[in-house]
Amino acid sequence: MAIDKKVIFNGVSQMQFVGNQKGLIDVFGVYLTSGSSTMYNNLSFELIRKLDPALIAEAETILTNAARVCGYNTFYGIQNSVEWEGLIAPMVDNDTDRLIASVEICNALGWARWELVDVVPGKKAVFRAHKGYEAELYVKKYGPSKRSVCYMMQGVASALNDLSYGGEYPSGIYAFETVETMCRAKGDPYCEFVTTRVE
Amino acid sequence: MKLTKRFDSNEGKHLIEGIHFVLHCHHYNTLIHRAIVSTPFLDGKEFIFQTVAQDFAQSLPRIVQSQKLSGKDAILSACSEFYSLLGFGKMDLSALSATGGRAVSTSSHLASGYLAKWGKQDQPVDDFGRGFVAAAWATAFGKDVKVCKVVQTRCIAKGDSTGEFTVEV
Repeated sequence: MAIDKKVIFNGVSQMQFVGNQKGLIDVFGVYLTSGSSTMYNNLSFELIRKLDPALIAEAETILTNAARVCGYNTFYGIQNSVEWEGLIAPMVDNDTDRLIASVEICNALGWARWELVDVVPGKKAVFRAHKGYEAELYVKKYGPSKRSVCYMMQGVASALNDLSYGGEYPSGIYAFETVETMCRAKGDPYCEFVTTRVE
Repeated sequence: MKLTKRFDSNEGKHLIEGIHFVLHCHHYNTLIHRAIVSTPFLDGKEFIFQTVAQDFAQSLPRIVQSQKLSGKDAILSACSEFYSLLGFGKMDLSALSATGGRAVSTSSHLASGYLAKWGKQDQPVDDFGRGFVAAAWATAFGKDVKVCKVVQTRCIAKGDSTGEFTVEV
């Protein structure tokens, strides 16, 4: 059975994630917050801009890793939830279906408008984002960038491949690496993420 | 509290009163927090406090305006409710006055996240809470958020029963 992206997108985008009586969003085995995109961007980009240039690459790795760990754990919870079981599991026949469905959940959660443009199962995946809060707000605030800036999406791309093809949770994390080869913040027409298995 | 929530499917954005919000989990928030506070040559806690305070100082007045609220008690209560809806925790702001005061949290996303991920902490961790308290104070009393300092004196992540935040003006 093929993945019906529209069903996933419509179903997940209508879910309400709001704090419980303790003011916590305790779902999928993690605590979630709904923070403004500007707050998260300022935490990332202003941090980078305050650093000595020699520290920037390391900081980018830290930011990307935070997103990978977030994506890996959150999507593990999602893929083992009753919501997944009811809505998505009947469409999933293999690991690549799981990846395609997870990308559509990312779209529904409002992280970006992603498409998976190429997959070599277990080896490589290429994602494109025509929307995405990181590049968009970067350009709006600072103008064009010389570097790719979508740290969150880069980390999540790795995480989704880790979960689909990396082996058992939680040891399957870090099986894949992602490079953002194109970024709208650099003037490219879309952001592109190439994920490959770590040799 | 009734908020206008909308999902813009073309842009892929969840909007609350026109403001774009994104979901992140405690792994992301605690890793980012820990990375920033341990960054060399940077007062990371102050950086997070200022960033969060200035951001909430933009969004809270819009929330208050959407609810057509006036009076400091109603505004502080709405700010607190909004904070909880976003999943940051439970913050009682009712003891704040124009000259400062104390806020108390009975639950905290960052504290819960730190406890779940790394266990009990030696130092207070809720710099998101500090920033929010400053912005709520500025919104309720019509002040500039930049004049407000917030010190966290107790923290659930340290094993305290509540978090406490002292507002210094």
